[in-house]
Amino acid sequence: VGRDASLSLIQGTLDVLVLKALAAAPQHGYGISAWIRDRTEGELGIDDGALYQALHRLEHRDWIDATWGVSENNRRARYYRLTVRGRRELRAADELWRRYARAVFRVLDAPA
Amino acid sequence: VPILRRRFDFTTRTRTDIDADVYDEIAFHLEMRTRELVDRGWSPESARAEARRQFGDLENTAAYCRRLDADKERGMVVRRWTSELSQDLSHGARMLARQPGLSTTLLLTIALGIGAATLVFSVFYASLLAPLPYAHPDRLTVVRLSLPDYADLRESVGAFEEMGVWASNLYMLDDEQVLGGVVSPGLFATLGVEAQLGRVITDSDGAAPVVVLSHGLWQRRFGGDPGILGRTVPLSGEAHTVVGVMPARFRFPSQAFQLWAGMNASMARVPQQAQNRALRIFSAVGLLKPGIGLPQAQAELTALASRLEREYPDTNEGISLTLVRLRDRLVGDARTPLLVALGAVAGLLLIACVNVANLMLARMTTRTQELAVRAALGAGRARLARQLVTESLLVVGCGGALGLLLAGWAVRAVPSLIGGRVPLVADITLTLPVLLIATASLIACGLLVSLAPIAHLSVGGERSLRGGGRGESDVPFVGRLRAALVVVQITVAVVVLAGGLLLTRSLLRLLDADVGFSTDRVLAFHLLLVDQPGPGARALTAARALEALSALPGVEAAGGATGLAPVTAQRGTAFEVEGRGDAAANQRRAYFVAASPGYFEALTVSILSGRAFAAEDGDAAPAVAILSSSLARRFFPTANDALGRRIRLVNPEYSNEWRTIVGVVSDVRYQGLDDVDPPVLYTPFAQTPFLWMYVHVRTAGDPLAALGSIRAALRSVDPKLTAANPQPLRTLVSESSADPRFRATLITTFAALALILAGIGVHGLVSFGVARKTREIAIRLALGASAASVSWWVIRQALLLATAGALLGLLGARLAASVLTTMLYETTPTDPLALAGVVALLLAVSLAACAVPAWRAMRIEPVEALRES
Repeated sequence: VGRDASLSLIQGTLDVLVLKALAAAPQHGYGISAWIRDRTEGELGIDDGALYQALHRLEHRDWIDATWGVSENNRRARYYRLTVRGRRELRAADELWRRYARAVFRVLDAPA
Repeated sequence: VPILRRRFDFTTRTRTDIDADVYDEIAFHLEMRTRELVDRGWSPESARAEARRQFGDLENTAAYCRRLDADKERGMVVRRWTSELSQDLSHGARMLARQPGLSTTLLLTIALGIGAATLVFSVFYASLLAPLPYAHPDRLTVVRLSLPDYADLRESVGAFEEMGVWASNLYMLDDEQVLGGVVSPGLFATLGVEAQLGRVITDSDGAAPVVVLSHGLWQRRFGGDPGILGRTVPLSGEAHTVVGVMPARFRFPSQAFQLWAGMNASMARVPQQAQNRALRIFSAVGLLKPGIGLPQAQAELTALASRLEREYPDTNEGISLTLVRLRDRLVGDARTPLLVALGAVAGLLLIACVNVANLMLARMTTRTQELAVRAALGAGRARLARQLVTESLLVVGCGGALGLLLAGWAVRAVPSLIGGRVPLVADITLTLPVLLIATASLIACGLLVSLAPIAHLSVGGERSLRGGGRGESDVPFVGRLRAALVVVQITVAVVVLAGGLLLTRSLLRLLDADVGFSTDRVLAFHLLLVDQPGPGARALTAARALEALSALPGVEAAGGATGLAPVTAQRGTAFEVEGRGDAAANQRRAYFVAASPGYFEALTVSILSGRAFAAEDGDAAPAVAILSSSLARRFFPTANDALGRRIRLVNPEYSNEWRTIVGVVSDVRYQGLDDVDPPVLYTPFAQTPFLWMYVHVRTAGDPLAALGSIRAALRSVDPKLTAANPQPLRTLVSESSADPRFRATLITTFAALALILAGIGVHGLVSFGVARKTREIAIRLALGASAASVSWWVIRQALLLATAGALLGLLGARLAASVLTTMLYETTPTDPLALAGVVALLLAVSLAACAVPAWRAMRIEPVEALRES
């Protein structure tokens, strides 16, 4: 699966967000989309299409797996959940992001 | 929160499933979003549009997801398949380890079958299928002709790119007689081969006596000395310069040929050979031009042959030129024996497979419960079948690998075992094609072996859990299948056995045959007279040598002839009987043997009428002849009627004066033990002195012990005379039966193995039957059945199987026998003794196979057996 290098930051970011969205409980794509929007208050303009691409990409990497289930309103929906590997990846990404952000903030917070 | 199920099912998503899933997922998303927007007060219309807008590029996303999903699915299929395979393999290995006795039997059976089959196939391949070791093997053809005919052919036939001609010749290299070829310079170019050391014979050699050595001769006689080039070696008394040594894998026309001497030199020495149109001892090898087929070239040769017939009616009338592929000529009549051996070994392999299938099937019954449990846990029938196939392939694969190892080890012993009996165009090795065929037959065996358990699965599967794993008693079909398999085994074994016994019977007849002469205490050797200055000197020297030998103490008789029974008559000729017309002169052919006085006495050939040759039948004396009994019978009512009549040779090589018939002698088998009563025309050696003679000396004691004094006596006559290749006649006779002996031994060995395997099959089936029916037998015994009737009940089963197999097998043998007929001597394919032997052996093996089960059945203690069950 080819990945566009210029998008890698965005993609990587989206991947972390998806993993985090699934950390608590399995969820379908729409639920994940809604959850991320709630948390980011819509700051990150994420296309729903990009989200689904990320979901299938993560599934392909075996970080999450998918099952057909029944939604809150009794509809057939595709539910995703973290695999053991996905959980490990989330922990690693979580730590990486925090270190990254701390470093960037240290620079930004430095007196001019 | 929905309840999530981890996917345990083994179904695989197809392309269509994936497309539908992606579509459904996106549709669900859009619907949810639209509903959310409507809840927030959007109109349904604009809500739908907004949901689409927020989604972005729908087409590309769907395509991307589909591609990823399909890719993942493929990966999962492979992974699931490999993991299941490794599960099945380790499970199969555990099963094998749990029953070491059974497993050893399985592995050895397959190893034996595959090993033997691979071995025979490697020989088959090396002689019939491997490419000839020449540059353009498929375009090489050969035709037998005389040298003048060859010259005309070169001039008028345009189908060939290159041509060469050769004849075989026996050379004396010191005291050793070696087979070689006398070859034209074009021969090596036609074959497209190069020497390993030095060079091949070329036109530049002119009439110089040059020779190229085989690798084997170079190693054996000259210690592989690279300085051999340029040295001279004496070949039949003439110095030849060694110009090259061929590579080890080179052979032409067969491995038996150890050197190749230039033809130009020998033609310069004996020019009449090159001019004699009737001397058809030469073979021309032609490399067909690219794109020209054999029929096209043959048409040209046929035109030439009819032209030569018109131009040279004396020598060429009725003579055709027949072009054959070089391979067909080289392989000769070895094709049939090889096919028979391959057929026999294929039968053996089939029996081995059936045995393994049967043993696996027997094992199935003990696994019914295990399989039922797996089926209940959700393994589909296909999944279970795959497990069984994997286990079968594991057994067959391990056994086959063992068999290939055995074959690889044994293949080295094959050349010495088969000697020159099979003309090999390549070395016998486990080459890639042989290994591929072996692997293919292994896989075929594996599938064959797994068929029976799968049949068991599909018939017995459903009932097994209910049956509590009691096994086969619930499934009569499997019992019948196993019996049918055993019948197949017996059938094949009977076919192979019939072949073996027919060949053995033929061999015994052959060994028992009256060859027409006595072989006891006779030494035969080759006496070369090429050094003598002329025909008169040859006759005189031969006569003096034989006289000196006869005078030796311990020598009862000595004589010589140009034929060496039972190896060769060396020459044949057309002839004409006075007053009997010559209309069909070409059809009248007989062996032509020049014999000395004392020859018939030394061989104890009886004089049926008239007299033997005498010292008086010299060059100046009236020309005389002696006929063999079978030749005399063709023209005269009794042997006495032949005496005084006249006969002459019709052959431009020899003088055609009329010869008075002075005697009739009993028939001698000259060319092989199966050469029954050939017509022979004898002339006195003194009147037709050849360049050589086979001397026969009858001694009072061990013939080889007299060799020293024989050589001394020869030297006293002429220091150049020597006794070459001395061998007791008894040895020659037993060597000439070596081929049939080898074939009979080979096929009988296969038959013995086949019979043993079939016996194991019968034993397995019958003892299983007894074990299963223990309760029934116990009840019978309890109800008063006698031990004898119980054992008869067991034996009857084996006899039924044997009878069915024997009937089918004899039918099969009848069909297969047509292939054998060319290899049989005075034995018909329906030979009653051989077929009775087949039946007797089969009965004996069947009875032996059920002896232990029958004994066990008799010893069943009713009370205990009933209490146990």
